[in-house]
Amino acid sequence: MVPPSSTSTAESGLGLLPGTLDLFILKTLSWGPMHGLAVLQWIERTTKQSLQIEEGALYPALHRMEEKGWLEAEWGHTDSGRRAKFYRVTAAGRRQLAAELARWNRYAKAATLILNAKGATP
Amino acid sequence: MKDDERWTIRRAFRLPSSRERMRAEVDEELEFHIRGRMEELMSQGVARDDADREARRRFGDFGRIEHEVEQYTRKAERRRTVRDRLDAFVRDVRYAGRSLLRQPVFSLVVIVTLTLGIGATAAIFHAIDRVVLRPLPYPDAERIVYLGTRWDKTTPIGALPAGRFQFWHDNSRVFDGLATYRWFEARVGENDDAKPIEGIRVTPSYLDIVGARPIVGRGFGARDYAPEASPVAILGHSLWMSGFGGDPRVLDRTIRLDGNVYSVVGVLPASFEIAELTTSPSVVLPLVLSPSQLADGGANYTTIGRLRSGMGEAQISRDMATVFERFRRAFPEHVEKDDLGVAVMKYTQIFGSELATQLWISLGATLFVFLLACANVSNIVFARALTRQREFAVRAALGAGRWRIVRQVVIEMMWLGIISAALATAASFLTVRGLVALAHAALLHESQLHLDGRVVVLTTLVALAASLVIGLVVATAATGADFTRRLAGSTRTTGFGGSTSHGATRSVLVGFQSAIAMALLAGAGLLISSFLHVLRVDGGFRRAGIYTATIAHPPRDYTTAQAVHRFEQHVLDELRATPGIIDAAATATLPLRRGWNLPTTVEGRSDLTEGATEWRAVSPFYFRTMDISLVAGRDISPSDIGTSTPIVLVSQAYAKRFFGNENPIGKRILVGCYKGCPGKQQVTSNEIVGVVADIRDQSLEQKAPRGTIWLPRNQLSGDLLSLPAFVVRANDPAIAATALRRAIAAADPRLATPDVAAMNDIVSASMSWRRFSTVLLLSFATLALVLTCVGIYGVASYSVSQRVREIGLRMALGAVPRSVVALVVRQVVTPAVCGLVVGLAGALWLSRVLTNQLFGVSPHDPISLGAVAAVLMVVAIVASYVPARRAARVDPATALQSE
Repeated sequence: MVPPSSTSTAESGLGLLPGTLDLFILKTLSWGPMHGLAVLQWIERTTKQSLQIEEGALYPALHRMEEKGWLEAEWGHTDSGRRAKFYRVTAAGRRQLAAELARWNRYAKAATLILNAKGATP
Repeated sequence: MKDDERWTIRRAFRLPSSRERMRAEVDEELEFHIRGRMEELMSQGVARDDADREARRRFGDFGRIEHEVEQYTRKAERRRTVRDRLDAFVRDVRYAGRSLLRQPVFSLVVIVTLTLGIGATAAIFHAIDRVVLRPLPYPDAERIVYLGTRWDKTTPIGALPAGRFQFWHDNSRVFDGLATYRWFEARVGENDDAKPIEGIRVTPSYLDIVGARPIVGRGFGARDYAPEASPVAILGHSLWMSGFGGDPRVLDRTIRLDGNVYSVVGVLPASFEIAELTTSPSVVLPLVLSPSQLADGGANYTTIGRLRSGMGEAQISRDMATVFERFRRAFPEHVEKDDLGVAVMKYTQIFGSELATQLWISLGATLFVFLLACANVSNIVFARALTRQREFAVRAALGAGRWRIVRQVVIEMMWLGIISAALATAASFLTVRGLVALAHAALLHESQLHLDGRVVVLTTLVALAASLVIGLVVATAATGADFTRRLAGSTRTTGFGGSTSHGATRSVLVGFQSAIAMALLAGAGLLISSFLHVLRVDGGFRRAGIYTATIAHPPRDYTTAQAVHRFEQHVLDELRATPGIIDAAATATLPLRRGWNLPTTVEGRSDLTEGATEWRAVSPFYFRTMDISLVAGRDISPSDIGTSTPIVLVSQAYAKRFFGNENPIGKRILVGCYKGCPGKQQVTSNEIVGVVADIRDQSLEQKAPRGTIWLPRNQLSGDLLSLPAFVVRANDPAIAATALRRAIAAADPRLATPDVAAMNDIVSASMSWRRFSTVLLLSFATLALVLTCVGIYGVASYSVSQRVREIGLRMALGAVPRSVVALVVRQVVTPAVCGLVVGLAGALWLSRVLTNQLFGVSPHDPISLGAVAAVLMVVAIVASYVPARRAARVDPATALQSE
């Protein structure tokens, strides 16, 4: 599940936790077909640029997920008429997203509980 | 939804990407990203060069990322190619399945035809595999031989007299071992629960020769054959299990046979069997040949040997001749004029050879049936392929190549082939059961005939291969040559000569089928004719109203002549006193069961002698009961008893052979004597008092009855005497059966219930072998006839449906229906007649293999062959007449408007 070289630590802002890039991509694409740059821009906009992603790392992830059958790709045209490769989530991808989301939520909840604990009882 | 469609179509038309194109696409995608970023930065006021640098910095290591992406792309591409091909295949298979379901009649006809053809072949292969290809149960079986006497050049070898066995055993140099055995029946256990078993007595080294090693204990050694040896026995596996519960300490135990106690010294493995016997012996005892047995000329000892390795035919026959020469000098009185000495035959040659021949003939027949079935299926599939030209045209227009359409047809054929294979396997299983029932247990062990993997695999392979070939041939032919022309124009041919290649193909098919059917029917016809001849044979004795009873496993105390005679008289008196019994008599042997032989010599004429004369021993009134006519002299009378003059009746053949035209009555023959017979004790001099008509009591198919002597049972004693079979004549079978059982039980209540059989059933059972081969070939021939009928019908129907327009045209121009019928019938019957002639020629040639099985007919019997040809002609005409009638009813107006 840990995608190789999908994380990088930036000088400023938050680095990416392992395994989360796939989740972000799936979630982003769940709104509709997008090309790679748009995916990145959407993540930036949504996180108000607090996450730093090595942009190139997006593409091996996209292709890996395409190969796994979570995404499908086709060449289309942007609004400005430029040729770009668009990705969209397949049915298998949606199932994967749901599963990953559930897992993430459980993890986040557990992590929060531990980190907010007021001290250990003997 | 629209989106989905677009994606699917893109996938459907995807072309395999070359490596460069893949790389270019990846580059384009990545460059798009960097350029988009750069433009974004520039729109925020960053200078072009800085924006480019910044975008590339943020993007990261371009080369590494490109490399990674490419790996995924390539992997995906590979997977997609495999998946696409698989998808295409699955789609084809599904499509083929659906298209077959849309034409259930077509599918059913093909499946039934293939199943019949393949099933018959599988069943026969099955039987051959078990009976012929199955190795003999002996290790190194090539070296096991059977030894028998040749009385003359035509008589097949029998068993050996004990004396010859001993002499060859002592003198021959080509064997590692030579042994003989005798079959015996005995009761095992104490008196009350004594149950009958069968066993063999063997001379030393028998078990070594057949390679049987006891799994418990030991085999027989020299001490077991010593004069004062204590009685020992080796158990068969089944008796060890049933009688001793498989007790491993069985060697401490004893077994009681007919009241005698034997120590168990060994147990044979379950795999032990004797090739020439249908059941394995339950017990094996040592056989010590007594002086009187060694002096006896009767050839009653089944003798087998194991050849030294490397012994060739020449060496063996030279050795046989040498030993025979020595034997002739030592015992001149034991050698006859025509005596050819001892013959050796390999087990691998004799075992199952009769059945094997039958099965090979059957395999040939089934191959014919199989070819017929394939021809029919090709025909049907071909016809269907032609009617599907529109469908093919549409698919071709959509971009499917010829190969694609051929593949489609082949896949459809494979579907049908697989279904047929499954059905044929089941059918072959059932057929084999039928074969067993038909052949009787004596011919095939049922245990030999269970379904095994090899047959299933073979059936499947044959079915698949046939489907593949038929599919390929038909599809290639149907889509070949004028494929494109036909796609462009009409799908109907018009002229009679039109589409000549297809017409010719069909004519050849019809001819081919008729030829095969003719050949098979000819064989069946000859066998049926033979069977009818055998049925008409008059054995010379009465069958209707005769009922018989035989007693199995008599107790040991019937050793004296008085005991046997007393019992016999008691039963006969009882029977004759029963109302409804017209006549009753006793006999040592029943007709068509087993016979016995003895040497005989005319008294005072040692040149008028015979080593093996058939002898029968009967009670008074046997001839009257059985309606066997007395030609001269008198019948056996109740006053012919042990103390009166020994008498004998001879058959006409015997009288003719030894007395020519002289009157034999009053002459004497020495029974049990061969030539001079010096010092033989069991010889009696019997006066001939009557001549009896010849009867065929060994086999109804006997060419000429052999000379037979008839002895009065009341004058028999010693070895020749045993409990008789009884025959009664009655009108009511139930009364006869009850009377026989009751009389025997009254005379000795200890006896097991006798086996009662009607003479008609005995006669019928004696023909079971002939019935088997006849029914077998007849079934194949019938199958062939049905297939041919279907084939001809199919060709005629198809040709009519293709020529509706032309027929309409002819009728519009004034042709009468009759001429249309004639036209269609002629077109099909002409090739059928050609095939028939070819088949007849083939049959005349092939019928040689049947010669041995024919009775009363020549292999070229014109009546049988003519009848068969007539049947085939009628079938061909009827099969083509039905569609022809349909053609004649065509309404010209409709026909011309069609299309």
